Amino acid sequence: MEEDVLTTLKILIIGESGVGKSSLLLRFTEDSFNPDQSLTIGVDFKTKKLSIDGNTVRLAIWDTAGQERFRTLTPSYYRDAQGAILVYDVTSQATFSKLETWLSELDTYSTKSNIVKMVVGNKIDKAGREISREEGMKFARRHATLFIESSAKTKDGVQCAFEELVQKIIQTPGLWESTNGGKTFQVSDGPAEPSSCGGWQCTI
Amino acid sequence: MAAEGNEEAEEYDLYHVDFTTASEWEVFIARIEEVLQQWKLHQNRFCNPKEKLCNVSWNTLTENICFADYEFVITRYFVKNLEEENISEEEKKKQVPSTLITLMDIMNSENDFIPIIYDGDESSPHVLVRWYGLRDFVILTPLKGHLTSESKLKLLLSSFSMAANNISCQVPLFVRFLEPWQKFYVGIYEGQEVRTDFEMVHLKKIPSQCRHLTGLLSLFKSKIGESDFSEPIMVAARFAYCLHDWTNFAWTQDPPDIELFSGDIGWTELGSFPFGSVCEPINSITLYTCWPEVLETMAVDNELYSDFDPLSAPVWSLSITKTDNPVCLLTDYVTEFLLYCTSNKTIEDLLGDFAAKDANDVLQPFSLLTESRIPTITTLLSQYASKKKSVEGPINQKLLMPILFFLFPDVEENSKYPYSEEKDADKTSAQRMKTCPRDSLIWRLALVMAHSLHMFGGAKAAAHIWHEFSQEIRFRWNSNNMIPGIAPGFPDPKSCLLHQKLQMINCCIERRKRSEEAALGKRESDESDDEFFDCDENVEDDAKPASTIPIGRLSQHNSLKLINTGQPLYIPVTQGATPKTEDQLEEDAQVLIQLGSDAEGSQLRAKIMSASLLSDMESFKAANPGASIEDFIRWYSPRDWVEEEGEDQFGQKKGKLSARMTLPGNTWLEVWDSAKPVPANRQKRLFDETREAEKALHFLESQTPASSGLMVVPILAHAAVEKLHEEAKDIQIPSLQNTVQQAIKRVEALSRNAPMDVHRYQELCFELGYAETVVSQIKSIESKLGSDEAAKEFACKLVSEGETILPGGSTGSIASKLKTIFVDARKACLIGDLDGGGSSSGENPNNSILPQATEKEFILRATAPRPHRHSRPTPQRLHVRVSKTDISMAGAFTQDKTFF
Ligand SMILES: Nc1nc2c(ncn2[C@@H]2O[C@H](COP(=O)(O)OP(=O)(O)O)[C@@H](O)[C@H]2O)c(=O)[nH]1
Ligand SMILES: [Mg+2]
Repeated sequence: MEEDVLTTLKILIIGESGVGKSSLLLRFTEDSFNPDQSLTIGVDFKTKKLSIDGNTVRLAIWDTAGQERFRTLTPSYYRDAQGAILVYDVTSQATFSKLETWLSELDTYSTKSNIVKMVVGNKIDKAGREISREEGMKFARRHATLFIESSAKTKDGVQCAFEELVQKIIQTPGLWESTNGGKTFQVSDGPAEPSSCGGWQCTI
Repeated sequence: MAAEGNEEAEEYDLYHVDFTTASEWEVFIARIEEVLQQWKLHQNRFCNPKEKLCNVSWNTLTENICFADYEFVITRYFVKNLEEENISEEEKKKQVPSTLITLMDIMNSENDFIPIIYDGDESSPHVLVRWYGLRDFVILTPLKGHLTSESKLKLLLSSFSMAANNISCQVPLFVRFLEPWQKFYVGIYEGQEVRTDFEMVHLKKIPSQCRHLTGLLSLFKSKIGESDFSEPIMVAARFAYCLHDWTNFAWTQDPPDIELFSGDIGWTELGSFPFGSVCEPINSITLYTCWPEVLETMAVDNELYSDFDPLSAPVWSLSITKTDNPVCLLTDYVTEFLLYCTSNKTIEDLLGDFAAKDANDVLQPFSLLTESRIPTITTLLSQYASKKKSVEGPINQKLLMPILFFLFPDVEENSKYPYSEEKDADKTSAQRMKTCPRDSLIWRLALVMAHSLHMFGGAKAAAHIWHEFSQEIRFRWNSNNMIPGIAPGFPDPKSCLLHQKLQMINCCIERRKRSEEAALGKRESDESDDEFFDCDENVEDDAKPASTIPIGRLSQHNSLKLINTGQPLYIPVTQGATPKTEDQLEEDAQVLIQLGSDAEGSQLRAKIMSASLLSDMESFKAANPGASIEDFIRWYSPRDWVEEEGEDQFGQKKGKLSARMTLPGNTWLEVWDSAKPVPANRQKRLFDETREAEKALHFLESQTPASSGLMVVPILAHAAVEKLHEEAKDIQIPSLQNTVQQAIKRVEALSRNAPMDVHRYQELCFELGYAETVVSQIKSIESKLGSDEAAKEFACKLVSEGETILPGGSTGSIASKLKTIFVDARKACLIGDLDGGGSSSGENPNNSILPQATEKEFILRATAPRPHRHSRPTPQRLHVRVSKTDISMAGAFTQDKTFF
């Protein structure tokens, strides 16, 4: 029901090309995985409704291409985003090393100073891991972001990543405003429900 | 005064006069007992008698109570005590049982003259605290109307007396008599074997003996009775000197006016707000000279002579009364501007012919190269020089020119007001505001519009400024001159829309300049091939040989070679990124969103997005004849190139495209196939600066007066809170600092809030008004009493907490400043008297610094036996307040109940 939706939240997915951004989005929105995921050009976009603690929000998720050249194009879409998912590929040191650049890009172009950031290490199902979970976690802690590991292929951590991000956005004062007049969020002050996210979550 | 004597006779009498049955009276007493017990006033408690009553918080408890049909409210006032368990052992030692506290309080001089704040009929703390030093007491007041009958008063008091004795109530009980404003309270306290009567007197006519201590002492003694005093009477005294007339010490802020700007000085004023209250924010000050403890034998005070010399009083303190809602300049400016933002007048309404003259140009925005007839600075300059008559706007040219020079300082050779080059030092606050850099072009514009509104001719003048501003911007575009005072680069989405629009125009001017320079360079030296220039759509035909001759190369790639030919791979010149303002970004995003979130939508989005991919591919092909998609991908999306074992014939690692890149029918391949080798400078432009500039100019020119105001109101608010913060930053008053922070937060939120809602700025005006008033009060006091550290602290306390003791007493630096002010006021007064012809007594003003006291207060205390010489000595107290016109006395007289 449309009137149940309290607000629309804008979320970005950024990171190097090929780390699985589009695959994560597809897994989250349609619960499927396409090994032949086509290479994103510029930006793409999907929506999904999500219920957390009895609040339903509409998510407008912007998927971006990771190529150097597109970087001049995509930051335009960073405007007014409340959340950002920074993805790297746990089997590729190079994609992890680039996170720093993506973070500074986000700082430069995001218009909300308190945008919620989440670092996601993807492809944990794949052999040949180069980045340990601890390394990822350390990075997240250093930059005060949320952290989770995931696999778009096996579903691990995907739902949880989005839920945790949204929960944090809701709990951040002044980051979003209800367009729905009188209605307000019920903000639970406890941490994200541990049961739903198993051992994957790490709230920093 | 309350009755003494045969109670039973009295009661009987009253029962017949006022109330119907005896049982109703009994019910009333029982109800009083019930309430007092409910409040646990019959139980023994402990309190610390040394606790100062001036800095405690007060509690009240209230019950309704009836005597027959007559309704009363019964209220307990008491000091909020710490929770039992929070009291340390140390504290406990200081405590005494509550059975003793009332009499101790009466005799305790620590709480003499504690400041109370009146608010209509209410005061805090209650006046009884001031008069008797009590910390816990009960008051009975009629629910409606007021008590005027003495007999009813007596009945109520005796009811209290009965109830208090029945349950051994440990606090005094009062009845409010007469009208509330008279603050007339009569009460009783039933202690262990003693009884205290609390009585009051108000007199409009002051008996002459009561004006001085000597007379009051004998009054006190006669009230206590003909007993020998075992101890002398202790006296505390306080005289008040009120001053309304500031003469030379008044502190007011003059609003800037047009005169200020007629000379050469004062133009920097245009870049900032005026600040402060236009009238004296301090209405009056009252000096209190206080003698806390004097033995009656040590002080003579009668009509002829007084030992109470205020100049040598041991304690001086000061209180102020503030001017109600003084008009404050900054707040006034902002309020006025908000009003402008809600006006529904059109430019034509305000500017009439003047705007119409230019309207033709606005209507033909695409006739670019025609010489502008708009009065830009340059044309105005020549008009001004030749004194040519033209249609004048609301602001005459003599005034307008300096304003425009201030906004566009780059026009003058050696402007006094250039825009600073360096980036904003204080980034933190500026970053959270979605406005523009401090003292940049539109910052100045906002202030100039506000000044114009205030003093150059109201709404007309403000509209005129906007008009001139937008005309000048158009002139800049037409004449290829960059707009000064705008942050460089692409439109910054963290700045306000107006700033983004101007950045956009600057981007356009820069692009056009660059391509014009390139075209010029082309003509001069024909062989350089990497310049970038404009071209017609059909030039493409001339470029046919480009498939073999490389064009549009930027630089050689440091390692890659083309797979088919082994030639070095060249990075092409590409079409730069496209500057966009936030409203355009929003439009773009809406277009993408409207395509829907399904696969088909994604496909269409990819198509739209692939315009820039196509452009890059064409540039790449032009720069690298014979290149394949593998070459392109290795440069463009290296992660889609999967390296394999072995080397090719040119010594490069072998490899292949990633799986997703080779999917049949994928957009990348499609676009590659359709890409022709065309260098960026001959491609269809992704960014058309002429169109974009026109759009932005049209945006500026089509604003109504109100919407142009809305465009700059966040900047104005930003500048206002910054000014406030600057003025308030050294003032250590928490409530002030909170308000300032709150105002800053509000502007941060409002500046990011689109669409703009002027009404939400109203709250800001309240905050500004409050804070500006407090700052003005502080500045006023500092201007009178000095601004060193001690004086600053004193001013803060005085404004935020009320009556404050002077550091250094009557000999400190604040006191000496005060004396000067009083002397000045006296002199002015004397001169006034002489002018008026009334011959003054010739009194030498030097030996009387202070005027006649406006009010004198005395507290007399003694421990004396009552009612008889052989009764036990009990506490007696009289508090007297004598003003010029009336006198109030409040006495607490205790007597021994066992020796009647
Ligand atoms: N094994 C594995 N492969 C993945 C995973 N996520 C994505 N991929 C693959 O990685 C490649 C790039 O994925 P894509 O979503 O297009 O990445 P993007 O460029 O970041 O959008 C595709 O071939 C995906 O099938 C994952 O979790 N596990
Ligand atoms: Mg993708």
